[in-house]
Amino acid sequence: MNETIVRKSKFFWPWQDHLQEKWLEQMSRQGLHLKSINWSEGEFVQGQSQNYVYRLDFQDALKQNKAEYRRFFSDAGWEYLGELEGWQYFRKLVQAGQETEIYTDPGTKIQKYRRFLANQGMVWLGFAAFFVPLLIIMPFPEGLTWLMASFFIFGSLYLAVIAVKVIERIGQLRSSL
Amino acid sequence: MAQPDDLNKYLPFSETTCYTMICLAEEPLHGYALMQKVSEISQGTVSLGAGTLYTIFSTLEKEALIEMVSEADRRKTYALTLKGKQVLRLQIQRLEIMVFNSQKITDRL
Repeated sequence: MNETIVRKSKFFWPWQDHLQEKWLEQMSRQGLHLKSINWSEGEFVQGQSQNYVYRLDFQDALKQNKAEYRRFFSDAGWEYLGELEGWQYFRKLVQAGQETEIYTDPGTKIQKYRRFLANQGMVWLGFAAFFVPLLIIMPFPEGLTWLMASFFIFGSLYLAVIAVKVIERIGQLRSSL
Repeated sequence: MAQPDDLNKYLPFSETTCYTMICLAEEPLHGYALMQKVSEISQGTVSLGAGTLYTIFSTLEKEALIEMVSEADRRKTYALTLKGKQVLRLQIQRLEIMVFNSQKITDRL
């Protein structure tokens, strides 16, 4: 069978997993169903309009449990679509009597965002472990050092914004506990 | 042997964790079987999402309240540990007190 592949990209901030889910659902209603995803774009298979729900989980430390994790979700009717930097993509056709959420209580949903927060913390630590020693030793000409310093500062600010946004989301979920 | 004081730190359970523990007290189960059983015995009041149950299993296993008893076909079956049984007993006592107090006032609502 011949598949028509359409590439589409849309920008989302890392804390907008719920908006990404909505966008993918809209695409499926237009007959474009996510096949694979990478940093810059998604590959969509063209077909008939479908009423899919898309859900993103965050699991960055599955390692040898990956097959078991995927089995766990597929048993519950979720089709696995792939992973992007710890985000796990699933979808399911909307049918009566089927659970369409992967997180059904706020406590465990908070844990999902905590895992993401911890992951971003590790990213920052890796970032700092690379740049801070270099900025202290300053083995490069002054111009390059300044460039690196501003790269480090802007990177850190960006990660700080992510952290604030995710903590905000956790706060909202906690108020519904 | 753990003292009751230590066991109280796991309490109170969320409704979803409580149902998970109750089902496992009856028989060892794997994830999907447990999801179905919870929606059945809770008379449809509680539905467990896959991500929620996966997280609950990991947490309870880390706390040694449940343990994996077998694995087949990439499905892990869990059962309560001795500590899990003790903690669940304490949780049930709390619920019984709550039900006792609730029943006293239901005719006023």
